[in-house]
Amino acid sequence: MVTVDPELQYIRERKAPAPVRTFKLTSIQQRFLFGFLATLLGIRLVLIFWLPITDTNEARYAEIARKMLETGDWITPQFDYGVPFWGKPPLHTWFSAIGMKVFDVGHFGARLPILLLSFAVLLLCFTWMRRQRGSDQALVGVTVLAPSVLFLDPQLLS
Amino acid sequence: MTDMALVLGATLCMVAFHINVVEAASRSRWGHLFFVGLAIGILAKGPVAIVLTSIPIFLWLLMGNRWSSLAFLPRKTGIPVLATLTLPWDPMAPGNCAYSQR
Repeated sequence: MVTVDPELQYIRERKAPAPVRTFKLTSIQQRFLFGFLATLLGIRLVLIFWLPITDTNEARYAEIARKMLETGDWITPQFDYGVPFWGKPPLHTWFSAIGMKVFDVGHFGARLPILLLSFAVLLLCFTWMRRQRGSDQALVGVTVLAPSVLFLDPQLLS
Repeated sequence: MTDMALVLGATLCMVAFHINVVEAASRSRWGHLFFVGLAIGILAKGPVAIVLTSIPIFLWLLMGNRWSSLAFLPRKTGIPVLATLTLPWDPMAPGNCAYSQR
């Protein structure tokens, strides 16, 4: 039995969408969730600044980005001088290299742009949920996504 | 997180595809953002991004029998957007072709 979800059915039959069961947060609850997210952001910033690079993957990507900055070759990521890195196209290397250009060579500069990318993911999820259900629901959803383990991992390049 | 740029590309694809289907008012903008998401994914991890994003979208289309919603994608203008964002890098990288011949 195939079920057609109400969202699409109303497009097909041009009917008004079925009312969705919903909830509202009190302002104290909203403030609590915002505070939680702000605390999380603070912890992440401290961690990416304070925690050195220990993971081999992260060390490799950070070094590839450093070589991109040093050699000025923004087209081909390099394993070693003159040895191209074929694992990935250069988008994530561009981000880390730009971060290192702004904040000097080091783990913070390499990680910060990736952290900003993760904010973009959260913002995108928030926007989507707000459009579909409402901003309170979006806030709860983002609060579920933000502290998940892989999302919180400070070794952002690994 | 492993490769946040790829996550961003894939998320943008999912969100943009869904909004493109269910919100007629902003169909054009999010339809094009779907192809931008695809371009981010391709520049982050190569053509495998197409596979990674099309598997969940395929299942979503299959489960609700939503195949008609594929027609909402602005293919005529979206595919050129995708091509202009992704194609220039490939021939510029020296040895790309040589690598594929190895």
